[in-house]
Amino acid sequence: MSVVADTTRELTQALVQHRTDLLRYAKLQLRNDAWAEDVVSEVCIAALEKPQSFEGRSQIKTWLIGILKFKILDKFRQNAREVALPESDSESDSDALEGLLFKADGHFATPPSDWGSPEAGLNQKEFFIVLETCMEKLPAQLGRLFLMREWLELSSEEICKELALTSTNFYVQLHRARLRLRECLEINWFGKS
Amino acid sequence: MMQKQDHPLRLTDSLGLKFHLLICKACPKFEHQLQTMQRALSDWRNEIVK
Repeated sequence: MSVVADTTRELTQALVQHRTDLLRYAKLQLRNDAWAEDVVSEVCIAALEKPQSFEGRSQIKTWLIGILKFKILDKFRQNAREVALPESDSESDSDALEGLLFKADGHFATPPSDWGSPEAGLNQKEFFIVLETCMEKLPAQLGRLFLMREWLELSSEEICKELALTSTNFYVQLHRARLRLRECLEINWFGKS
Repeated sequence: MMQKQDHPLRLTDSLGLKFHLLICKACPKFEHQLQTMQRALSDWRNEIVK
Protein backbone atom coordinates (compact mmCIF):
# COMPACT_ATOMS: atom_id res chain seq x y z
CA MET A 1 0.00 0.00 0.00
CA SER A 2 1.38 3.36 -0.93
CA VAL A 3 1.87 6.02 1.68
CA VAL A 4 -0.35 8.39 -0.30
CA ALA A 5 -3.23 5.87 -0.36
CA ASP A 6 -2.94 5.36 3.40
CA THR A 7 -2.91 9.11 4.02
CA THR A 8 -5.86 9.62 1.70
CA ARG A 9 -7.88 7.00 3.54
CA GLU A 10 -6.94 8.51 6.88
CA LEU A 11 -7.87 11.96 5.60
CA THR A 12 -11.20 10.80 4.22
CA GLN A 13 -12.07 9.25 7.57
CA ALA A 14 -11.07 12.45 9.33
CA LEU A 15 -13.19 14.56 6.98
CA VAL A 16 -16.23 12.39 7.64
CA GLN A 17 -15.57 12.54 11.38
CA HIS A 18 -15.06 16.30 11.57
CA ARG A 19 -17.50 17.48 8.93
CA THR A 20 -20.24 18.37 11.42
CA ASP A 21 -17.89 20.54 13.45
CA LEU A 22 -16.37 22.19 10.37
CA LEU A 23 -19.85 23.05 9.13
CA ARG A 24 -20.89 24.41 12.51
CA TYR A 25 -17.91 26.77 12.74
CA ALA A 26 -18.32 27.84 9.11
CA LYS A 27 -21.98 28.71 9.77
CA LEU A 28 -21.07 30.55 12.95
CA GLN A 29 -18.56 32.73 11.12
CA LEU A 30 -20.24 33.20 7.73
CA ARG A 31 -23.88 33.40 8.95
CA ASN A 32 -24.97 32.00 5.60
CA ASP A 33 -25.76 28.29 5.32
CA ALA A 34 -25.13 28.03 1.58
CA TRP A 35 -21.72 29.69 1.89
CA ALA A 36 -20.86 27.43 4.81
CA GLU A 37 -21.69 24.30 2.78
CA ASP A 38 -19.57 25.62 -0.12
CA VAL A 39 -16.63 26.32 2.13
CA VAL A 40 -16.68 22.90 3.80
CA SER A 41 -16.77 21.25 0.37
CA GLU A 42 -13.77 23.36 -0.63
CA VAL A 43 -11.91 22.24 2.48
CA CYS A 44 -12.54 18.59 1.60
CA ILE A 45 -11.33 19.11 -1.96
CA ALA A 46 -8.25 21.05 -0.85
CA ALA A 47 -7.34 18.45 1.76
CA LEU A 48 -7.74 15.50 -0.59
CA GLU A 49 -5.93 17.22 -3.45
CA LYS A 50 -2.79 17.58 -1.39
CA PRO A 51 -2.74 14.81 1.21
CA GLN A 52 1.03 15.05 1.37
CA SER A 53 0.84 18.56 2.79
CA PHE A 54 -0.66 17.04 5.94
CA GLU A 55 2.22 14.66 6.59
CA GLY A 56 4.13 15.22 9.79
CA ARG A 57 1.46 17.28 11.48
CA SER A 58 0.16 16.10 14.79
CA GLN A 59 -3.54 16.89 14.55
CA ILE A 60 -5.66 16.46 11.45
CA LYS A 61 -8.45 18.60 12.85
CA THR A 62 -6.08 21.49 13.56
CA TRP A 63 -4.89 21.33 9.96
CA LEU A 64 -8.43 21.15 8.55
CA ILE A 65 -9.55 24.13 10.63
CA GLY A 66 -6.55 26.05 9.33
CA ILE A 67 -7.71 25.40 5.77
CA LEU A 68 -11.28 26.24 6.78
CA LYS A 69 -10.27 29.69 8.03
CA PHE A 70 -8.54 30.49 4.73
CA LYS A 71 -11.51 29.32 2.68
CA ILE A 72 -13.87 31.38 4.86
CA LEU A 73 -11.84 34.53 4.22
CA ASP A 74 -11.93 33.79 0.48
CA LYS A 75 -15.69 33.44 0.70
CA PHE A 76 -16.05 36.81 2.40
CA ARG A 77 -13.94 38.42 -0.31
CA GLN A 78 -15.92 36.78 -3.13
CA ASN A 79 -19.10 38.17 -1.61
CA ALA A 80 -17.77 41.49 -0.40
CA ARG A 81 -20.79 43.52 -1.50
CA GLU A 82 -23.27 41.34 0.32
CA VAL A 83 -21.11 41.11 3.43
CA ALA A 84 -20.74 44.87 3.72
CA LEU A 85 -24.49 45.58 3.70
CA PRO A 86 -25.57 47.01 7.05
CA GLU A 87 -28.51 45.43 8.88
CA SER A 88 -31.39 47.87 8.85
CA ASP A 89 -32.81 47.07 12.27
CA SER A 90 -29.61 46.38 14.20
CA GLU A 91 -29.24 50.02 15.27
CA SER A 92 -32.61 50.27 17.03
CA ASP A 93 -32.16 46.82 18.62
CA SER A 94 -28.81 47.85 20.03
CA ASP A 95 -30.11 51.14 21.39
CA ALA A 96 -32.95 49.23 23.09
CA LEU A 97 -30.46 46.79 24.61
CA GLU A 98 -28.23 49.54 25.88
CA GLY A 99 -31.28 51.32 27.31
CA LEU A 100 -32.04 48.23 29.38
CA LEU A 101 -28.49 47.65 30.54
CA PHE A 102 -27.39 51.17 31.39
CA LYS A 103 -28.82 54.18 33.15
CA ALA A 104 -28.77 57.68 31.66
CA ASP A 105 -25.48 58.51 33.42
CA GLY A 106 -23.84 55.58 31.65
CA HIS A 107 -23.66 53.32 34.67
CA PHE A 108 -25.17 49.86 35.12
CA ALA A 109 -28.90 49.50 35.56
CA THR A 110 -28.39 46.10 37.22
CA PRO A 111 -25.05 45.59 38.98
CA PRO A 112 -22.88 42.87 37.41
CA SER A 113 -22.78 39.67 39.45
CA ASP A 114 -19.76 37.60 40.51
CA TRP A 115 -18.86 35.20 37.75
CA GLY A 116 -16.02 33.16 39.20
CA SER A 117 -14.53 31.01 36.46
CA PRO A 118 -16.30 28.75 33.94
CA GLU A 119 -14.02 25.79 34.65
CA ALA A 120 -14.64 25.91 38.38
CA GLY A 121 -16.31 22.58 39.12
CA LEU A 122 -18.37 22.77 35.91
CA ASN A 123 -18.28 20.73 32.72
CA GLN A 124 -16.21 22.81 30.33
CA LYS A 125 -17.69 21.05 27.31
CA GLU A 126 -21.19 22.13 28.37
CA PHE A 127 -19.95 25.66 28.85
CA PHE A 128 -18.57 25.72 25.30
CA ILE A 129 -21.95 24.62 23.96
CA VAL A 130 -23.59 27.54 25.76
CA LEU A 131 -20.86 29.90 24.53
CA GLU A 132 -21.36 28.79 20.93
CA THR A 133 -25.14 29.11 21.24
CA CYS A 134 -24.76 32.63 22.61
CA MET A 135 -22.53 33.53 19.67
CA GLU A 136 -25.09 32.04 17.26
CA LYS A 137 -27.72 34.30 18.79
CA LEU A 138 -25.80 37.47 17.95
CA PRO A 139 -27.37 39.34 15.01
CA ALA A 140 -25.65 38.24 11.78
CA GLN A 141 -23.45 41.27 11.18
CA LEU A 142 -22.36 41.50 14.82
CA GLY A 143 -21.69 37.77 14.85
CA ARG A 144 -19.46 37.95 11.78
CA LEU A 145 -17.48 40.82 13.18
CA PHE A 146 -17.13 39.24 16.60
CA LEU A 147 -15.96 35.87 15.23
CA MET A 148 -13.55 37.57 12.82
CA ARG A 149 -11.98 39.12 15.88
CA GLU A 150 -12.19 36.24 18.34
CA TRP A 151 -11.87 33.19 16.08
CA LEU A 152 -10.15 34.25 12.84
CA GLU A 153 -8.14 36.69 15.03
CA LEU A 154 -8.02 39.34 12.32
CA SER A 155 -6.78 42.82 13.17
CA SER A 156 -9.24 45.71 13.40
CA GLU A 157 -7.83 47.09 10.12
CA GLU A 158 -8.42 43.79 8.33
CA ILE A 159 -11.98 43.51 9.64
CA CYS A 160 -12.78 47.10 8.71
CA LYS A 161 -11.58 46.35 5.19
CA GLU A 162 -13.60 43.12 4.86
CA LEU A 163 -16.81 44.61 6.27
CA ALA A 164 -16.38 48.14 4.90
CA LEU A 165 -16.48 49.74 8.36
CA THR A 166 -14.81 52.78 9.83
CA SER A 167 -12.62 52.16 12.85
CA THR A 168 -15.11 53.92 15.13
CA ASN A 169 -18.01 51.87 13.80
CA PHE A 170 -15.96 48.70 14.26
CA TYR A 171 -15.36 49.38 17.95
CA VAL A 172 -19.00 50.35 18.53
CA GLN A 173 -20.13 47.05 16.95
CA LEU A 174 -17.55 45.00 18.86
CA HIS A 175 -18.65 46.68 22.08
CA ARG A 176 -22.28 45.78 21.34
CA ALA A 177 -21.38 42.19 20.51
CA ARG A 178 -19.53 41.85 23.83
CA LEU A 179 -22.42 43.36 25.77
CA ARG A 180 -24.86 40.93 24.20
CA LEU A 181 -22.56 37.98 24.76
CA ARG A 182 -22.06 38.98 28.37
CA GLU A 183 -25.81 39.23 28.87
CA CYS A 184 -26.40 35.84 27.26
CA LEU A 185 -23.71 34.14 29.35
CA GLU A 186 -25.03 35.78 32.50
CA ILE A 187 -28.54 34.45 31.84
CA ASN A 188 -27.60 31.02 30.55
CA TRP A 189 -24.55 30.07 32.57
CA PHE A 190 -23.08 32.30 35.26
CA GLY A 191 -26.33 33.60 36.66
CA LYS A 192 -27.65 30.10 37.34
CA SER A 193 -26.98 28.68 40.80
CA MET B 1 -12.85 48.93 29.85
CA MET B 2 -13.98 47.50 26.55
CA GLN B 3 -11.42 49.53 24.63
CA LYS B 4 -8.68 48.35 26.97
CA GLN B 5 -9.27 44.81 25.72
CA ASP B 6 -8.30 45.81 22.20
CA HIS B 7 -5.61 48.47 22.49
CA PRO B 8 -3.68 50.37 25.18
CA LEU B 9 -5.57 53.41 26.51
CA ARG B 10 -4.27 56.97 26.44
CA LEU B 11 -2.73 57.92 29.76
CA THR B 12 -5.59 60.24 30.78
CA ASP B 13 -8.17 57.54 30.04
CA SER B 14 -6.09 54.88 31.75
CA LEU B 15 -5.71 56.93 34.94
CA GLY B 16 -9.37 57.93 34.88
CA LEU B 17 -10.37 54.28 34.60
CA LYS B 18 -8.01 53.13 37.36
CA PHE B 19 -9.39 55.78 39.70
CA HIS B 20 -12.98 54.91 38.89
CA LEU B 21 -12.33 51.22 39.51
CA LEU B 22 -11.06 52.06 43.00
CA ILE B 23 -14.28 53.74 44.02
CA CYS B 24 -16.94 51.88 42.03
CA LYS B 25 -18.40 48.59 43.25
CA ALA B 26 -19.96 47.44 40.00
CA CYS B 27 -17.21 48.11 37.49
CA PRO B 28 -14.50 45.80 38.85
CA LYS B 29 -17.04 43.00 38.58
CA PHE B 30 -17.78 44.03 35.00
CA GLU B 31 -14.07 44.11 34.20
CA HIS B 32 -13.72 40.63 35.70
CA GLN B 33 -16.61 39.45 33.55
CA LEU B 34 -14.98 40.84 30.41
CA GLN B 35 -11.69 39.17 31.32
CA THR B 36 -13.47 35.88 32.03
CA MET B 37 -15.15 36.12 28.64
CA GLN B 38 -11.81 36.74 26.91
CA ARG B 39 -10.22 33.76 28.64
CA ALA B 40 -13.22 31.59 27.81
CA LEU B 41 -12.99 32.56 24.13
CA SER B 42 -9.28 31.81 24.08
CA ASP B 43 -9.90 28.40 25.68
CA TRP B 44 -12.67 27.71 23.18
CA ARG B 45 -10.47 28.69 20.25
CA ASN B 46 -7.77 26.27 21.39
CA GLU B 47 -10.15 23.49 22.32
CA ILE B 48 -12.11 23.24 19.07
CA VAL B 49 -9.03 22.32 17.03
CA LYS B 50 -8.47 19.15 19.08
